[in-house]
Amino acid sequence: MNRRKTFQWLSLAAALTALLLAGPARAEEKLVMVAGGGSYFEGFKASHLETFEQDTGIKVELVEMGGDPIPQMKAQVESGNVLWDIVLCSPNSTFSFPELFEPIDRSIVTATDLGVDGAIGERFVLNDLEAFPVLAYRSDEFADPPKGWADFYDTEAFPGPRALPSFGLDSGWTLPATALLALGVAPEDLIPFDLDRAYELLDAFKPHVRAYFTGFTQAQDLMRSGEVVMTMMTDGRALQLIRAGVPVGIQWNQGFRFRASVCAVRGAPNVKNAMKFFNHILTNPENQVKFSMVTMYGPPTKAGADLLMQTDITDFTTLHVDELIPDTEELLTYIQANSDELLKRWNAYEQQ
Amino acid sequence: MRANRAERSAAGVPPPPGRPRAQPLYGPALLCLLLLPFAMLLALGMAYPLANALGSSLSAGDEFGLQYKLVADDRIFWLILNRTLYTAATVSVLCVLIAYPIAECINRAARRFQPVLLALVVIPLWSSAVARTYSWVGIFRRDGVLDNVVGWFGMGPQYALFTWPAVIVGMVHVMLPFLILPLYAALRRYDHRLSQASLSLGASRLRTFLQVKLPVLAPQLAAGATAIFILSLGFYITPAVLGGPRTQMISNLIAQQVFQRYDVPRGYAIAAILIFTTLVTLLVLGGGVQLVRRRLR
Repeated sequence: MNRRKTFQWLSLAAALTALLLAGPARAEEKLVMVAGGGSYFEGFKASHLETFEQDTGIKVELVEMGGDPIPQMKAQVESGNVLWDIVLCSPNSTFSFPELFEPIDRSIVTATDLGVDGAIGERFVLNDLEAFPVLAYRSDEFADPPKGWADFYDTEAFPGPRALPSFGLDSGWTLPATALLALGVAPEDLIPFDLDRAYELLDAFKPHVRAYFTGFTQAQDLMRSGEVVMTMMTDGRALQLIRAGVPVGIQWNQGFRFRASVCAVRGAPNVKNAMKFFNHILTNPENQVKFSMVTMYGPPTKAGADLLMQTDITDFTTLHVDELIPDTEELLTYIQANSDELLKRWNAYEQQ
Repeated sequence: MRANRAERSAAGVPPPPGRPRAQPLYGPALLCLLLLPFAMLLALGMAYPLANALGSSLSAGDEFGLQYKLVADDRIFWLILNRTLYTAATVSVLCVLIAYPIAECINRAARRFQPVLLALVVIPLWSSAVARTYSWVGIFRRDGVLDNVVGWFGMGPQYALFTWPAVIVGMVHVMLPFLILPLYAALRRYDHRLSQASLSLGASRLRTFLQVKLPVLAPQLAAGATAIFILSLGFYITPAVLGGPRTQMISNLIAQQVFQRYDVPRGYAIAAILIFTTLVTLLVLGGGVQLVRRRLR
């Protein structure tokens, strides 16, 4: 081996060592977050990401992924090869699969006085407030608006075709739950669902179902054209219609709260950074407002809600959170534990 | 078959073109060695995960095979399996009916236009099936292209989106190239003197087509239609985008189990039943095709 070759080998080794040393150092400064595409993605880009990088020097990498991240997360955690730090999730996932999520580190997530119940859970932090299902109705059809689910299912007092969501398990619990509320069951007595009683009402109601929609855009089309006069929706999609000038009203009473949350994956490479990011979300009302301007979802704190009221968006979930039925741990774990039965009954209903 | 060929050559008729018996280029040992990488790929990428899935679908739960019992007890599962089979069958039959005239047209067009016509078939294959499926949404949706066109003839909106016919149209569109291309290749190889001979001996055009041309094309038609049938069984995006609740196929059901209930073994069980059903259907179909071919001969 001549001298030049030795030198080449040495410099290669040096370069490799430098790379190895630089690798983990760079990894300290980042955070990988998985989000569905669309407005949610845009919302994050327009709000928290930039200020978080300015404040902490930590760069957030957004990974786009449609659908539920849980099955892939499970594979990552079980194989010990965790690639993601933060996933968007429903509290439901953290209740049903606590082993997949890091507990929230309250020494880093120190935000207080949020003004919204249940904004910080054991393994999740609230990102924005939504409601599903809420009752949306054509305000030009009814002089006297529907007061709750009893009126939704009462096609004599409130005539006209209806639309129902075809969302698998999400329909599997919302349809019986709203039917039971319509029959006079109190929200706190819903569990366990009396499915036979609920489906008796739903079967009688079936002839009035004009359409089963598989996406909310379709539900919006049905309401905009007046093809149906009432449907179940998320509040955000109904508010979009109202802002576009469609005569639509929302009945918040007996709607269900949904806490769209952020969670840290168990064993994530940058757990501490994730916790810092969670605290950043909760303590930055200006960013929460920017997020809401893009997505139309409600801010997770009262400070954010107050600030949003000063824009031209004056109606959103956070203002109605006390009227909604809370998405309690009891309700959500009940749904997941009984998903087989709920899904089976719902599939049988919509398939024939 | 062999005797037949011997007879023909004895009678001075040359053997049918394109099927000379080739001398093997490699010995068996070398052949095995060359096949090894592919065999390993199949074993690692296909056999192992499949066996794994089958194992966990059988063993998950309190008793052996519980997942299968739970799936089989659900009436709706059979309804959707049935729907999946007849949707796939409809798509393959429609593809045969549409692809044959197109392939014939391309083959009969002037030589210099043929590459252009073939490109029109192949180019859509380069874009993703998802994009092609969504393009139908713009056509079928309320106030979309279809509603506008039928509006010129004084017809009202068709509500075509989210219906079974919409799903069928979308699937046929995605699948057609898989049949047009092999059929075109078969037609190029087809010896037209066979048809001429048949016609000159007094057979009608229909009889010539059915008894001379069709038997020659039958293997390509059967192979293409079978491939389309199998691919159609697993369709997910098209029924989800263009269909409604009552057009769902088995893969939508599997997605419900895996992504909503997080019950992967149950999803495996449904998938295993689908694979088994497909294999049985293929065996039956294959037997049927053999029978028909023997009849035609």
